[in-house]
Amino acid sequence: MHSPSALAQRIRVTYARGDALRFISHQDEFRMWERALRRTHMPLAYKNGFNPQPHILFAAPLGLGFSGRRELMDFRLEEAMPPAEIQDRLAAAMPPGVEIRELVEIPLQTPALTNSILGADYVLRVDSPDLMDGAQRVAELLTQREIWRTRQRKGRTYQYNLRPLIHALTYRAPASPSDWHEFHLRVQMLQGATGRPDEVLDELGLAPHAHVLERVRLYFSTLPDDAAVFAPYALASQADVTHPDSLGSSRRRKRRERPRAARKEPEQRPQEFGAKAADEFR
Amino acid sequence: MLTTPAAITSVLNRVLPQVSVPARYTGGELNSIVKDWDGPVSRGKVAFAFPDVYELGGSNLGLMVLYDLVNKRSDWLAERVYCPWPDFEDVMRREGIPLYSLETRHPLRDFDVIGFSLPYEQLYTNVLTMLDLADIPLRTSARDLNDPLVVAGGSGCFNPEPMSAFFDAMIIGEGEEVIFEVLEAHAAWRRDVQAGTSRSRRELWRRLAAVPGVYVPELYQVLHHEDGRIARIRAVDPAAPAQVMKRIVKVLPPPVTRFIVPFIDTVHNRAAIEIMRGCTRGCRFCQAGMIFRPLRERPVEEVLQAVDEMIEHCGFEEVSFLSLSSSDYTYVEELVRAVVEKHGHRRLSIGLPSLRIESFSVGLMELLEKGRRRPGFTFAPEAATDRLRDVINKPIASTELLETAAEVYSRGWTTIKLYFMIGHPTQTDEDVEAIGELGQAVLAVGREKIGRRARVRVGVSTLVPKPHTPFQWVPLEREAQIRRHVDILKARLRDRHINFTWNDPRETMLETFLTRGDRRLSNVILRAWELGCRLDAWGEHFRFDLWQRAFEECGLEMEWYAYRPRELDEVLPWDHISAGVNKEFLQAEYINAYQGGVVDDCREHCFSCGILGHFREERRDTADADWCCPPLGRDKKRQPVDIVPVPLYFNQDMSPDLEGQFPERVPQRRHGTVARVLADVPDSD
Repeated sequence: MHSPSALAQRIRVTYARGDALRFISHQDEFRMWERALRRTHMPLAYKNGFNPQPHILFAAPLGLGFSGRRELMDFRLEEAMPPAEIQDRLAAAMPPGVEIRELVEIPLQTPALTNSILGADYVLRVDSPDLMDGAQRVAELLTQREIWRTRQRKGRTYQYNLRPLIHALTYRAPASPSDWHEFHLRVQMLQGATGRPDEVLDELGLAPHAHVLERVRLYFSTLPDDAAVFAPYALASQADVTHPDSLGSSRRRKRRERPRAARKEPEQRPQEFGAKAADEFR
Repeated sequence: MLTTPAAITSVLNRVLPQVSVPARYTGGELNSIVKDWDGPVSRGKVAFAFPDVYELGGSNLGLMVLYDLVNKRSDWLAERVYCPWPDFEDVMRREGIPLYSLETRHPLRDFDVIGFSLPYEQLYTNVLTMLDLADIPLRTSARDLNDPLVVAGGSGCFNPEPMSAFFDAMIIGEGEEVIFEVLEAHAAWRRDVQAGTSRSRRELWRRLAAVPGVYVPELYQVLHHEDGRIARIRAVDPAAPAQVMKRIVKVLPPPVTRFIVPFIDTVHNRAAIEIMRGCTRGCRFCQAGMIFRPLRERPVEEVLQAVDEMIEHCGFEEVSFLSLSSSDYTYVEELVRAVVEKHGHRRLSIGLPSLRIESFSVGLMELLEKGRRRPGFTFAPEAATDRLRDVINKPIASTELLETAAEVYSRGWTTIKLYFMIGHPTQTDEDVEAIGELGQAVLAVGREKIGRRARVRVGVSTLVPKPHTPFQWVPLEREAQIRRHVDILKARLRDRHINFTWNDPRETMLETFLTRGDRRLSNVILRAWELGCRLDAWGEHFRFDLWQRAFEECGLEMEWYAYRPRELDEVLPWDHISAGVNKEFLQAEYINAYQGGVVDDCREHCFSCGILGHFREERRDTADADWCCPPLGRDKKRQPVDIVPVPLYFNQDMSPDLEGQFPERVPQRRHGTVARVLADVPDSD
């Protein structure tokens, strides 16, 4: 087992996650960054543990299907290096599709970005030559007070109100027939109260059409300009958007099921192909 | 059907968000090679096709080696393609997307040659899915001058007959050199077609058949007896040899160091370096151990340099040293020590699969301890009694296994994985029950060393009698018997710290008839595919009922292929293919199995399997350190060579009257085992 790394330097990267990476998950992106950093030969700091993980922290994980124009990520080095050199090395090691926009050193004790996120802007581009009522769909969505959506979390379904999480939504019609429709969206992203652009697209009735989702930028409470943008909005808390029924039932169930699951014996079953193939013996 | 990369890309943008794991179909990975399609690629374009999903194919070293070799030449271009998951297959058919390459998204028909890899049998129907999506006629006989050349390689080709209807040519053995001979033969034929001097595909076949190691199924005829057995296999064209001898490379070519780094997780998501090819142990069930002979080692300096380059180019956090028996690699400790010293501080973890108990030392264990990321350690005793291990020629003692297990647990590993097979010849219920007892005994050792954290995983598969092995004449165990034995093991391994997995007997049946079939199986495979068989290796897609229907409609019986013991003098469907190992050697080993005769590691003692005879010129040209068969030439004698090999010893239970080279059970000697170093005793029984 490895001992934990010394931490000498913390680096914050702003980058674009391009179209080529649109179809990879957040987990895949994490591994992509670890490998890129390893290729730079910089003294990347690792956490302690049996399966050592590098100190890499994202502001807001970007899921499958999204590209991102200004994403943020922190990593740590065991030995300090000049940021300019780090940026050069990293830029040379990145796979096609990722562009380093900005790289700065920040104090080691800076709070994690995740804790200060307010929200984000997205552009939803939709390819649908027949769509004529984009503006009307937006107007109809915004007049609603409640938009109840059903989601899954750890195998349980629960309901939440999407509407209070949307703080702006505008429509831009295509300039020419070959262009795509654009929907500009601003959502809040607080613990348990995060607006999801793919669900907004679904509420607009446009999910079945070809679409490209891009996060344009993130907003942080620690930046005065960002905070000013979000100041006029009434931010909703988790309690504000959670359906009363799903709140109660989830608490009850949680307490009852946990101990029983832990006592379960391993299930006996034929071996699956994925597992078989992963085994280097055969 | 869409015909241009631009049209394909435009439709992909629309449809990919709707399919599962879309990154399988987009390419663009680091180190993938995108050449200018219209540039100076004068000689030809090859698509390397892996007939399973990206996550499996992307980990395949063989395909990566060929992709790397072909692309290193400026006048050739190679791209990759994998089999789509059924949801994307449906989308492709609906939208008119042809099967396309990942690098430049050209339809497969735009390539000159399509090279399929056939590493295992359960992916045969996927070949048909891919050819069909590529709009290439499935049967060779239906292709014309405009269709690409469709070839196959990989260990599946050692019995080429079941898939023979679908390939113009099948490459037997190692592909690194012969691939270029095949490509050149095709390019020359293509020029003649354009010049108007060649007007038939048969002319292409004849040129390919002249390349050593290339089997062209259309140029052979198989005659059957009335009962279905084969009467004769004959070449029907003077260009085709009576028997196709496999190709080997004398020295392993330099390893690939610019691995494609996948964006998504693949089954082996790490760097892999082949340190050794072939195996000297001679386990009688093991096809790889027979067909990859002779044993060739890669110099340790070359491996170390490759590790450095791989880290530079790929950034993988794990490197895996591949071979059939890693702890038998002469320089294994030196290699692992050097890698730990140089890269250990960067948390590079080292994978050393296929460790053998008898050559796995304490020193090696201590080295591996430093660079591990995984809690598990794997051994494959394959049988649980000393007697049955003599039958399969994997003579290790259970006591040795337990001593090694104790060492592994006490060094901080918490899980030991054990692999066994059931259905070996001469197996009794006691041999099966012993698997349960050994699993429990290993857990008991773990409990003693590390208490309640100790875990054991037991994986049990059923012997599939493979072509070109001493067990090729043995029948497959009956399904009812397999299920009964699995039930015995379920009962004996019922413990919440033991995880027991086994292979579905019907999937074993599929593998058996596909690996043992004759060329009539082509009709069955085609029919099963037409009925809807897809991705047979994936349990959720496997449709045994459709295979049964396909057999019925073709008037054949899968049981006849699987359950029928073969006579020693029967003509086998793969008799016209040679792995360089003589049939007489396999027959002698088959008989030794039933007498409990054990043969030695052939680094210690040559048993005249035939390799040295068939490849004597190659052996003479090769340095002794690179190739582990006895050196040839005057004044060169490293090991004894038997003309009539006598086993090392005979199992007392099975042949009390027969005498081997030694009077009693002698464990293998190479390197020295954990157990023996610890106990400092010469032998254990």
